[in-house]
Amino acid sequence: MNEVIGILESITALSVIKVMMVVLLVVYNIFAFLMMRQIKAMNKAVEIGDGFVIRILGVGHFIFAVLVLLVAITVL
Amino acid sequence: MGEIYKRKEEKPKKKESLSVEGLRRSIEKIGRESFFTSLATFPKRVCFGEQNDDEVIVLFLRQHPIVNLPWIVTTIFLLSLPALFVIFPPYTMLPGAYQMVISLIFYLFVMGLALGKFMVWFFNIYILTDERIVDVDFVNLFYRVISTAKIEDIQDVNVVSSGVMETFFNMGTVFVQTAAEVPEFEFSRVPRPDKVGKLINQMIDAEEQEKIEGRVK
Repeated sequence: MNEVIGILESITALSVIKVMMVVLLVVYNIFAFLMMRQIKAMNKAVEIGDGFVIRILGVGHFIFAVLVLLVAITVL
Repeated sequence: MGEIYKRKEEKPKKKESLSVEGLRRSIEKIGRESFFTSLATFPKRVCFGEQNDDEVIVLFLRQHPIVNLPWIVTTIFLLSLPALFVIFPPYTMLPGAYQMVISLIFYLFVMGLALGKFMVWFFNIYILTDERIVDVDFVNLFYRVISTAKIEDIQDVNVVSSGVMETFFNMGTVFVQTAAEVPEFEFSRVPRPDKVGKLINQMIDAEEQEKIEGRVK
């Protein structure tokens, strides 16, 4: 019982914010991944000469999302 | 009494065949296949999944690039917002690392928003081939519809251009009524709608000509 109270007492506003941000970023990473997959699927459905640009943008967006998640986990 | 005027016998002109080659010659080249083009005739670097081997893409269309202006302006505005975060006390009370991560998350969201909007424009494609019309509707990330109708099923073509913006930028909407499963195709806010409408009508003529000549695929 005392352990539970101890854990609850150790929860600070900052740790709550950290968990919220990490959870949000994990969900966002899934979204960014789906976005990348959708771009790939669309490029397959309609092949356009400049399709590689949007593919690069999609991959770049996903990499940025992963980097922000890693930064949030390590820095916070 | 002498003859005042004698009409010269004119040889009837041979009607040019409206086959694909005929179309290439008869269709006025509109637009060009450049980077992020929104209008191009006979594009070389475009093909779609259900395209037949001998099917030729006559027209490739997207919405006029100017339709992207609102989200570009919004994105620029949003990108400048983190500079104002310092005004809000809850943000300033946070440690530096938290402030940095919040700013990064904000930039990430803005990037996602801009990419999503760009995708909607990029993948909303209208294709006219020598056999059919294809409408690729990319509504959002999780909803897309690809509709097709044969040229012979096209019943009516209407071109609507209204409003200051559409008149200024020479864009409009081309409505194509069909007897196919999808009763109406809407080529929304495309550049040079009058030319597009004319081209679709030329394709209908070509299809009818093919039917008469017994060259229906």
